[in-house]
Amino acid sequence: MKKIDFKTKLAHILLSIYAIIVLPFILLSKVIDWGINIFVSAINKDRSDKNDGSTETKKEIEPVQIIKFKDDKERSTAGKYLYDVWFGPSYTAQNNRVFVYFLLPSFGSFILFVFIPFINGLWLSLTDWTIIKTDPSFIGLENYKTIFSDYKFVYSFTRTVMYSVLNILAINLVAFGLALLVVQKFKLKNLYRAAFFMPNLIGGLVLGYIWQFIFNKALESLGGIFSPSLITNGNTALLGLIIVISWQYAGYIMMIYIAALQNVPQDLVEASKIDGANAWQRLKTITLPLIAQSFTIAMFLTLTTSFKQFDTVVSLTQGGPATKLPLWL
Amino acid sequence: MKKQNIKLIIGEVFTFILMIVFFFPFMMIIFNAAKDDTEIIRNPLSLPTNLLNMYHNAIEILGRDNIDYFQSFGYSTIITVVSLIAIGTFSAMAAWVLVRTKTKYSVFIFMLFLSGMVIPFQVVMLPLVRLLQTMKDVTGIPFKGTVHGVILAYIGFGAPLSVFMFYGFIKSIPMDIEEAAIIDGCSKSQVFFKIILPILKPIFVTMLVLNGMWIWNDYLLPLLILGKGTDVQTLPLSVANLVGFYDKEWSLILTSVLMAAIPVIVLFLFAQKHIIKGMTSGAIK
Repeated sequence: MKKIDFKTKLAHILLSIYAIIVLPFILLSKVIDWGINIFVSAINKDRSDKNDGSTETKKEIEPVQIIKFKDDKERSTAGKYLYDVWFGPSYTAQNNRVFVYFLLPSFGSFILFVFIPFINGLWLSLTDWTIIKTDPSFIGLENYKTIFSDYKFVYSFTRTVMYSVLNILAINLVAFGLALLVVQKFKLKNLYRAAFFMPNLIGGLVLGYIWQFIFNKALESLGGIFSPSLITNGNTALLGLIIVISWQYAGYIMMIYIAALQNVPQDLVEASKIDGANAWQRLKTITLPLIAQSFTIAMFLTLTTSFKQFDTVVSLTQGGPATKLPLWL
Repeated sequence: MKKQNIKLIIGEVFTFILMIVFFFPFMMIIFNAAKDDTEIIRNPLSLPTNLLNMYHNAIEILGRDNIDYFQSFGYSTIITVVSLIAIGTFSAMAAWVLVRTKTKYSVFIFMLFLSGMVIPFQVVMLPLVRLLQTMKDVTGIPFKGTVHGVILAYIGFGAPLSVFMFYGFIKSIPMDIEEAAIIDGCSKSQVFFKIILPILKPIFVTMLVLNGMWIWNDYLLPLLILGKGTDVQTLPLSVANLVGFYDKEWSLILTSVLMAAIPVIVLFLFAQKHIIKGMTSGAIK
């Protein structure tokens, strides 16, 4: 590994901090200064106009006309428009300035780093671009034809869909079960919540290494169904991945269900208890309809994470065994 | 009454056992980080015999030059902290003006942000690398392999979700407060930084937690922009470097994994209340 000296490193760090934090605020202060200057000069001009009301002096300071206007009235409306809307001291102008200014940092980087590459990617997918080729030419939907006739892609695509469906079911079942347990009046309630939530803190890549060790070394030493290791075979690797992702993600979804379950009014549950409903009936007819909204959120969250899974798969099996896990690259 | 108590105790014992099962992977890392390689191969499930091994493993990792732990820890921290502050402030600013300006432009821009939420990173990544190269050719400033390149990319990728969250929250803040502030002599930007930003605190915490966990643990974006084995490395990248180099040297791998996970877990234990509250309130909103 090439070592760079301390000075260069420091320069990089300072440059980045400057680019991110300082620069926008300097610009901000510059524009505010600018606005104030214009404001002050406008007031001064007003004052000087009032002080010497003679028409001779006014003609002297009249600026050179670039655009010919019919009369004074038209010039004032057309010329003033830009000034009034963008640079003037009026409330509207201030509003407009702040609008552009506040929007620019995040919208600019969003456009630059997400939107333009996205559009660019769509365009490139219709061309024969490679890393080496500098001027790609348009080939239409040829790439899509190639990829959908490729056995590997279709296989891993169907695998991904299958895995996502199973994964969503598994995560939601585990999370809802845990949530139902943890909302009971246990003594160590808070400890349980924190413990179930903990796996969520570990990132996908590190998580994959941990579980690779567990599957390949720890569980395999037990023998039985764990030997040979679960993740060496295509079908059981899918199961292994589902276990890993459920372990990681169930805690987070559990938190959402807990928040929903705590909002269920207790008097409804008690009323149904008096009416003679057993635990299952209470769950089915009272609790589930009342927390339906949180199911939607949980489904959405699990769906997006299931489809976007990459790090864990890489570190768990390196995309193997033989393109059977969701890895399109 | 008594029957209920027994039920509760059984439930509690069951949950406790479940918790132990959930903790099994953590225990595996901690146990095996305190063993040497031969011991791991002989019996990976047993308790470690000599706890000093963990210290030796840690020292060995700090000595290896392909995982410069302190340096990559520093880079991870800088990248995470600076991007979080930048994402939070800039997204809140953008969301505020989008809510308070009711024109067709603001609606259109908000829709653009929303559409960004459904774009997966994998679609964007190759054109992004190409774009960064072009940007270097045009401006002369390197964006690949630098901290500011990663941070700028994170601002872009973090913006959609954060703007969406702030947008929903700011909508519920009454306009009267801002009008009162303006009458009292605040300028527009003062209204935001002195009035709105303090009100945003709860949703700001949510944003910090969600984005912070994502950025700290992210692997793909740093891999693309920084590259493997270059001078600037984040913690996940260094762990991947170590694993690629010393394949199957499990004692070192697990120790490095433990060392990468510990900062976050310590932070979680200290700020547990805020983190859990932040995560759930953000999801429900």
